[in-house]
Amino acid sequence: MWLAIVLTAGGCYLLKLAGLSVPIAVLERPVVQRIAD
Amino acid sequence: MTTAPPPEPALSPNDRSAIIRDGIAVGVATGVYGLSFGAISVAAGLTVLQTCALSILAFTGATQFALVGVVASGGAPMSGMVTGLLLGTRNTLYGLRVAPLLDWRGWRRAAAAHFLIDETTAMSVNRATRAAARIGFLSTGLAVFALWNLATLAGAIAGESLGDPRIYGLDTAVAGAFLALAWPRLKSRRNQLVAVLAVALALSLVPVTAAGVPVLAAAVIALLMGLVPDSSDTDEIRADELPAAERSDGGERG
Repeated sequence: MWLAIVLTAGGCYLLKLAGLSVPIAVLERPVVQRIAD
Repeated sequence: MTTAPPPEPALSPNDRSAIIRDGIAVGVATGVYGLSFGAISVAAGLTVLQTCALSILAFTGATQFALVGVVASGGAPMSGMVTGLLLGTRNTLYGLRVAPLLDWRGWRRAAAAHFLIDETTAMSVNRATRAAARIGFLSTGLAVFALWNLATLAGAIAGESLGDPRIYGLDTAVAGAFLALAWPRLKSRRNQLVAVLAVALALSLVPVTAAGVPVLAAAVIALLMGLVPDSSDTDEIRADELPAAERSDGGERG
């Protein structure tokens, strides 16, 4: 159980950080905007 | 902050405290779900320590509910983790929305990432200026973090002494919370279609697959629908929704 908790927490943090770190140029592509919605 | 900051009006003390008040209000409202999470988590078989670790370290409600939900229904912790991480990708999408608004770099961005959740996104995405977006993000993030974790601890301890939360109807509270999170997103036709298809697929898979699989399959629908181009998609609001501060920030574009 602990392993699942640690991996979930680490994975969630990396997912959050990835979202904040994507360059603006990528964000302007329509496909990205549709999925983000 | 290597580029010159765009000129923007300073935030008045009144606006500032109004935003902070809203952030705290959201924190209080979210704390209620923390009670529910704590109780459900110990009922699923996690210890109080494990439950609190999830709230502190993962700090994203839907993922936490998903993980303990899979464990509660007899699934392996690892398949709960996969379901949880899939729901966690939601925060990546929020990051895409708020990154240009907040414009934090280095350690500030690394710290802000931990607080990137439904509530902080909602309370920063519609602000008119970067200063307002940052205050909205920070006040909401800190308020939700404090109250979510306190409530998780209280719920876990109460849950342990009270027994199965289903006796009190708390299990349906989870479904209600999910619905409340999803509801504001259902304004566009596309999102309504995604929701209907996803629900239909998930319900049809429940009898024949392991716990957690229906949610994964339903999420694939959302991804596929996002990839389909749609010329009638006139309700996209991104461009005019972004504050002027972001649009004038053209220095970094390639």
